[in-house]
Amino acid sequence: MLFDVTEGEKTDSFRSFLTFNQAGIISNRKLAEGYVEKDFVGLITADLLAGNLVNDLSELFKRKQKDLIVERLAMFNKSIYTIDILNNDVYIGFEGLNELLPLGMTGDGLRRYLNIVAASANPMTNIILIDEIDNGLHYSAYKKLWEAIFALATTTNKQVFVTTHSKETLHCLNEMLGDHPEYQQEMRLYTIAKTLNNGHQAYKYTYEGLSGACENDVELRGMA
Amino acid sequence: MEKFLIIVEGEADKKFFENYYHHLFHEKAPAGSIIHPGKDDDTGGYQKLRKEDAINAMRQNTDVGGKNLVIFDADEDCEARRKELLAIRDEFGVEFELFLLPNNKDAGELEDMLEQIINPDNQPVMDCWATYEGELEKVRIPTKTPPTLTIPAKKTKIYAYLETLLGKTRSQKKLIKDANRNYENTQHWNLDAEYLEPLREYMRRHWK
Repeated sequence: MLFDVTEGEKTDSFRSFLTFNQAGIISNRKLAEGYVEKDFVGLITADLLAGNLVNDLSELFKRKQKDLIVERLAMFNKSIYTIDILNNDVYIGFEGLNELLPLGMTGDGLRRYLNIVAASANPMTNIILIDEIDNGLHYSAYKKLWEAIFALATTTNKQVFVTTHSKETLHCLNEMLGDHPEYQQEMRLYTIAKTLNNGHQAYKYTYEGLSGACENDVELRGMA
Repeated sequence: MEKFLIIVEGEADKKFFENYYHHLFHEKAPAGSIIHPGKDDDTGGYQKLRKEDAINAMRQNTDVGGKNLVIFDADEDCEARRKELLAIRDEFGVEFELFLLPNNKDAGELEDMLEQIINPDNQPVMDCWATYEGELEKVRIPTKTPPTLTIPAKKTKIYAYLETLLGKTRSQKKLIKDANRNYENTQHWNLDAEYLEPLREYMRRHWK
């Protein structure tokens, strides 16, 4: 892989290598010499368990920011009052229960929500990628999750990239932005479609287009 | 069938074209093929065509090999409106075929067209309305400034037309509203009227 980076008058070239064997597995990797990565990226794939939860939470707890997460969890489920990491596993405290529950025993939705919220709150990353954000979540959680992402990404100065196929998710984003004008200019939506005449195209929407499309039930997810 | 995207000004137009499409082509208009851009609280009618959701919808439809039909009101001046809309087309680099209601050459709007396509049996209703308008014009209310009255809009005329033909129950009254009208009801409307020939020809020409 060859990267040419131009900044003003200056151009730098970086050559990195990634080799795949016949089974499709990475067999060799070599990072370009002299290249210093300044971006720290968090990736949450579509998989329900995906995330770097312990790492993300540790960065927050270190900075005495546990309350930030508990607050967000309580918005998802009113009876949550605490969260802890014990033996490298995450435990959640529910009102009315004498013991903290391991995260694996709570619902998939809570887990997914927490993975994304913790990634958004982690101050060490400046970019996060979230694939199929709606996966594993009940539609009633979408709006709360969007609000959490925007609020936390704003305070930690992150750029967030999200993918979705869900109309409901987009409508909830629109609703959330309607309630929070301060976030409206911080969002861009790109509909990616493979078109007959023009190959792959991306159509850009700002909040204005998103809200018009939602109100008029115009398809945002790309035409077949 | 080539993908159609029909862009109209409002909900009332959308309902009409859903019915008219079905009448002409004997199939239901595909979901999402008739849209009106912008939001309810937007003013400036024809300027809605510049809205992001309309421009993106047109671009995408063109890219997938479809055809865009923009059907807006001519309002005060048909040729002036045509120029304004074609200017938007050039400004954004989109493609569409234009038709201006009521008949692509006169001033007016959707209701002017509707007036011309009523079931001829119901003409007496319209004649009564004309008399009513004539009488209203003569009225002077001395304690009002100005003493003359505003003649009700054409929309009101169409509402009244339907109200007289429908019954008194709540479900009947609901059918007067734009979104609930059924233009394929031959008791009220004649979708084969001669007046619709330019529109019919326009839609047939672009439908493949």
